[in-house]
Amino acid sequence: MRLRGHSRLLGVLLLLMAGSAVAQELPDDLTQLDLEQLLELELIPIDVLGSHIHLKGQWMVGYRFMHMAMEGGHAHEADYPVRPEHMRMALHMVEVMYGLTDRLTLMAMLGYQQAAMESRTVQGTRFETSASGPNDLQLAAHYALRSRATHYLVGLLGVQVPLGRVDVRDDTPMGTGQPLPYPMRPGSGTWDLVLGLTSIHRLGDWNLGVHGDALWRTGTNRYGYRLGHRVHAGAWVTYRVRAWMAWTLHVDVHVLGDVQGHDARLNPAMTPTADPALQGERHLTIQPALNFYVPRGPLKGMRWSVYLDRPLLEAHEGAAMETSWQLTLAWQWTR
Amino acid sequence: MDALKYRLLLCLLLLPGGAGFAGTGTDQSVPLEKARAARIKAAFLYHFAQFSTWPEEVLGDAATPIRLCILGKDPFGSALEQLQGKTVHNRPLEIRHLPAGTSAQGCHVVFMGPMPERVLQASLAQLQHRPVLTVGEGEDFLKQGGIVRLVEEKNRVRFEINVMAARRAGLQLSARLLRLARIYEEAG
Repeated sequence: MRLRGHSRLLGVLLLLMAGSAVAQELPDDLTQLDLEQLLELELIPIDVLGSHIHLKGQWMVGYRFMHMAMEGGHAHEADYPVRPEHMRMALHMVEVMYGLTDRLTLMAMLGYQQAAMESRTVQGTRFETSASGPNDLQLAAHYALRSRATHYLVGLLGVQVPLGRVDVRDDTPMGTGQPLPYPMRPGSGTWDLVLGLTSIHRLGDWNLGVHGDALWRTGTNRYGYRLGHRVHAGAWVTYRVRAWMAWTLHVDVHVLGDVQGHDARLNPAMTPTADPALQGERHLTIQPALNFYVPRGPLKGMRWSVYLDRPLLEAHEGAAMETSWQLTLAWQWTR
Repeated sequence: MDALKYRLLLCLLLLPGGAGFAGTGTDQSVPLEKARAARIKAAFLYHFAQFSTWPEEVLGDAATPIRLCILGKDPFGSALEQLQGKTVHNRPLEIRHLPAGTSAQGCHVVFMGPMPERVLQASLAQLQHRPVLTVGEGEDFLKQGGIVRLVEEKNRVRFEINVMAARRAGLQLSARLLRLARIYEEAG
């Protein structure tokens, strides 16, 4: 486990927290608003603290860009003739949500992944491989088990459709058009089940949430393996500094199981990223984020989030590559 | 980090969200979002009165108040407090609560609260052709002869107007009110 220094950033967050909070609450006397303004008032406010359910007929369109840099250098790697050194991954993710009823929201989410990995052989030859393509498509339903202005409890049930490619290839010192190892593949090749539960409390200018989800892989893909099951649990606190700005602190735990079975085209003794028994990982991250919101005007309902650089704290196990930093930019528009 | 620590952390994170925040107001008798909706709807009632014109003989002398009556169960609660001390057409606005099924004689605006269908129909029939602005929320409220219906839709409050019913009641509704409303067309 490593503690990373971000004292300057924390200082800025504390200053923002100490600043005067201006809540976007209703005025005491609504009769002073004119009819046009009354027609615009939301029954459940969508604001910088976020909207966690979408009411009947409401659309949400979102785009998220994530950039991750990962490092090799694990103890296990000395045993392999090819060692991964750096990996960069860019992920473009588009999501669309639609409120079918006040309680039931449908969601479709699709990512496009671009990955590049630098490796080195024991003889000292460095080479880079890259692969890109769409990830698996996630189709899910969110159901508000409890929906109050101050508390939401939302269940998630979905399926991941194996749209992403499993067979990605590039040239390596071992030959041209070699199949790339597991972390480089955008798809799983299996139909997977997604389950989740989110609980969010709004307390004035504060938003407190806990979330848990699991990705359950089913069967094996055409290459004779399946990726590990994945469990994620997270908690966060968001504080509204202004009607248009809030900060968030996330704590997340990710647990990923090992690959079951193996792709016979890969030699697990060649590199740790091709060894099915070393693909599992567990890590804990604490990440700060800033959120911006357009509270009025024609762009009302737009929300931007910036998840700031690298995790403050990261505990990491497993032989897979370790995230050294990550940047996420997110945009959402609810209408 | 060993497996036990992870398990403990997961348990903490997955605790039911409500456990840590009991007594913070999440289970009040009137949920906050209902109170918010009531305040918005009460403000609409005030504006409906502002944008309606009654025949001279109905209003009486200048000191006669405009009476807003809540017929049946009051869904507004304290939301009506924001109307206290207001004036409409330079007359004081007076709020009255009447039990379902009683006569709304002397009222200028009547909000029909939740009540049995039969009682609602009888009340609406009694007020037909009288200069009373009837407001309700039931799905068939306008079809039954009501004049204005408040609707919660797409996370906002909208309103619909039965222009023919207003005309039968001898009320004049402002062009601005009609422009912002969804107009209900009576069948036939």
